Amino acid sequence: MPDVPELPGMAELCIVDLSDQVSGAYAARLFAAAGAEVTLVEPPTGSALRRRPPLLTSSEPLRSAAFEYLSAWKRGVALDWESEPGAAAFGCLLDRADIVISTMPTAQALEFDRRVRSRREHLIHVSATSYGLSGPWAGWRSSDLTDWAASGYLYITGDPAREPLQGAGPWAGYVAGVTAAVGGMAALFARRATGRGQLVDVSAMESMASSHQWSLALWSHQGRVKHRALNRHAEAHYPISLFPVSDGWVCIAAPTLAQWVNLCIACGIPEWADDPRFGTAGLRYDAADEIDRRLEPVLSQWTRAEAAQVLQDHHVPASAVLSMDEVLVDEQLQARAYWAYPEALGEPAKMPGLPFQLPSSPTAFRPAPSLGEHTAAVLSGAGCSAVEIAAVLESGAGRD
Amino acid sequence: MTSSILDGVRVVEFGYAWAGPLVGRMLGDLGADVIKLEQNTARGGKLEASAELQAALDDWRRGEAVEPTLRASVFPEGRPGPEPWNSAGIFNKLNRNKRGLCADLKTDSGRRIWRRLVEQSDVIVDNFSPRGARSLGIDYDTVRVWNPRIISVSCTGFGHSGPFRQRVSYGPVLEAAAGAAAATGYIGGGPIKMGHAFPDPIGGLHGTFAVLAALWQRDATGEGAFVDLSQLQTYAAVSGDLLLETSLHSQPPPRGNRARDAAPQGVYRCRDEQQDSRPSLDMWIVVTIEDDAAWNRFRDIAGDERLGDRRFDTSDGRVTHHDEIDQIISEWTRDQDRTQLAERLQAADITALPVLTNADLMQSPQLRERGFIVEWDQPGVGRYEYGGFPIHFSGHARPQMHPSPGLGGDNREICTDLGFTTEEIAVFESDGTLANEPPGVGGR
Repeated sequence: MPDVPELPGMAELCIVDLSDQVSGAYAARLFAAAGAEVTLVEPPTGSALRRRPPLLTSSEPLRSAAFEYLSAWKRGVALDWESEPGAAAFGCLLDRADIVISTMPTAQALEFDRRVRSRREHLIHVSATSYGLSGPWAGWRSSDLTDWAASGYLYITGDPAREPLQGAGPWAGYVAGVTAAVGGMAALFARRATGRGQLVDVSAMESMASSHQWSLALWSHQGRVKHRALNRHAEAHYPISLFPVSDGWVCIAAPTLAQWVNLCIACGIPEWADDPRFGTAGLRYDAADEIDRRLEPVLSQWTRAEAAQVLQDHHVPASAVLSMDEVLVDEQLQARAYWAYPEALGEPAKMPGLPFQLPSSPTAFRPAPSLGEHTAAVLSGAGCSAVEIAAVLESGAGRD
Repeated sequence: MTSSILDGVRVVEFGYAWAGPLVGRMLGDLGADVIKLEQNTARGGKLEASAELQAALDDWRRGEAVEPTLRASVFPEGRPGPEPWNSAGIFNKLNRNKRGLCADLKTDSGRRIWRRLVEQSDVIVDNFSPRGARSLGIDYDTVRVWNPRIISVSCTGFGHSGPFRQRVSYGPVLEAAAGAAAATGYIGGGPIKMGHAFPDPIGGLHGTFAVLAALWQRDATGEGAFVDLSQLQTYAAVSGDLLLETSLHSQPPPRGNRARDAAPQGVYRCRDEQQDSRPSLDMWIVVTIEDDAAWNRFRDIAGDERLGDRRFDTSDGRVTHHDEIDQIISEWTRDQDRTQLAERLQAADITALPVLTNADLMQSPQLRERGFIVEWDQPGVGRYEYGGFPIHFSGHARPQMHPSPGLGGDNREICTDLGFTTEEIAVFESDGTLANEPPGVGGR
């Protein structure tokens, strides 16, 4: 076991990322965004994430937007760590690692955990799966859509007269990823006190279930099922909704009395501001159709930008409903230097950089690694000799 | 074995709504000493004991429509009780494992309390606007002078810089601003927001990670930090793949419930069920068929000879004829029990799951066996179940659940911890700096 500095900074942390799903890959990306050294270890044939839609190319070599985004700031090692020649080199990597992140299915994850942690007391293993490593569903199959179904969010999103609707992205996986990153950081603090690593078991299902606003308490406190409410905010509060304007939609969220009064003034209907029929958020919710009929002719005279500006000038929370295209040129995100530019993907390519800036965050962008880009360098840094590295590469267990 | 991983870390959480308090809850579940700082207006005012409210409660007891304010607050059995500000389920589920301090920071006494909090804490979490933070004197430039090791995490909607830095927001507004609402929707339909204010937990979880990473770094360097956490940025970050794709292809991501690498995939109606007081509720199952082998297994189980059509043999064919396949599957699932059907399909190695309601989550054998569903006896409310902590540590017990604090419920204990004398605390109480009720109650 290597010496672990008593109080290492983020830059001294070594993360080995074995993920081929969004959840674990995003957890590892967050560690990289916080300045840790993250090494993606994928099979010589490439991670399954490299083939995950959305694809940026239609023919070989395939370029996955998910892979390119999720692997930024990581170093790449192509290594068959389950083969005999690869296992020794992989062992060197794990000996140096503080955390290994996996998205393997349950049985494989538990076997892997037993194998690698039994000989490395300091090692933390963060497992991210759909349902967790125990329980009756632990071995069940999953997809992005079943993750939505398990989360309780699918049932409550969409039109009550139609089928439940998923979110546009694999966001349950991302939520599991942030939760897994929190678990990994917490395990580091625990290790500082105990000297021991542990298994951190995070599921998309629980991560999402703990990300409900009030619906779990609604059941336990009132025995009520939460329903879809299209763009209204479910059981109460109004106005919180999307409204049509001349060039699209705006979102207005004015649930408090002060915001309602300001909204009425901004929309030129001051007589409604103190109308007792609309005196509480609950009364407004029950009168939502009437409110919509009154607001919509006013709002339809404005563009999205005008509506958002006028309402914000009156301290009413509001925003244009922007397309992804428009978000890419949004002045707020531009002003905050949010974007990263993966030049190898071509001129217009841009993607979110750091979600937030920490003192330990990297200062320069590093794009996702090509397959095996850092294999030799990383293995050398982990203590493998040139002869050992050459043997791994020649056997086909590694690739650079 | 202890659940107190963050033992010895003190956090002041000065947060409203959801994102900021979620950071506090996660850190509290991990064992930090989280002081929830509130203004006396934070939990709303007194609920009028009006005839309308009583009528609404009577309606509720008859199983009829509840006055929405009551629904939103999630009072136990719909009863606000004598202290409604302390009995709302939506508050209590989010603020367990914290101590409660209710103080007016704008008085001289309040500023003394705030300074000692800063001096004796490791982390401050707030979700005030930049202007609001400065006016309260809780901004980083102020607090770093008193405690250079402090980690200050400010969870705003748009961030502390940029042209929209003073804009106000709630979660749905950020969904719109991040492109998520426009990208979500039925095929051919308009934008759709999520069923809950989803950017809030996304921001709160990112904020929790930021706190831990900043604390780790501080312990190595001795230097504190300010984290300017824009919820717009964290929400856009979970669409990083979609934004990158859009930057190159300039077309919106596909809508609806289908997948780009699996067909068929959909949400199919099953037999209705009764889960609450309503006569029946719509119930659904999700099915994802990733490849030809899964399709063959599915076809065998469904047993409808129309699915044997050669046009459906390939993935491309199933994509082309997805509507037709959906129709056949829907006819097959319509009268079946969603749970039994999902179990049958999973047993045949087919990706399927019942679409879970909030009732299903609370009763889920998967969540219960893993100890996710927890309960505690909330003073003035009673013993109820809640969603628990989503992280399992093999070397640590599950977190203990301490009830959410009443408004100002720990004022004296916290002020004593901060080194104030009994006499000083009495002055704070008499001059109105400390409170344990909303304004307008108890004669004030």
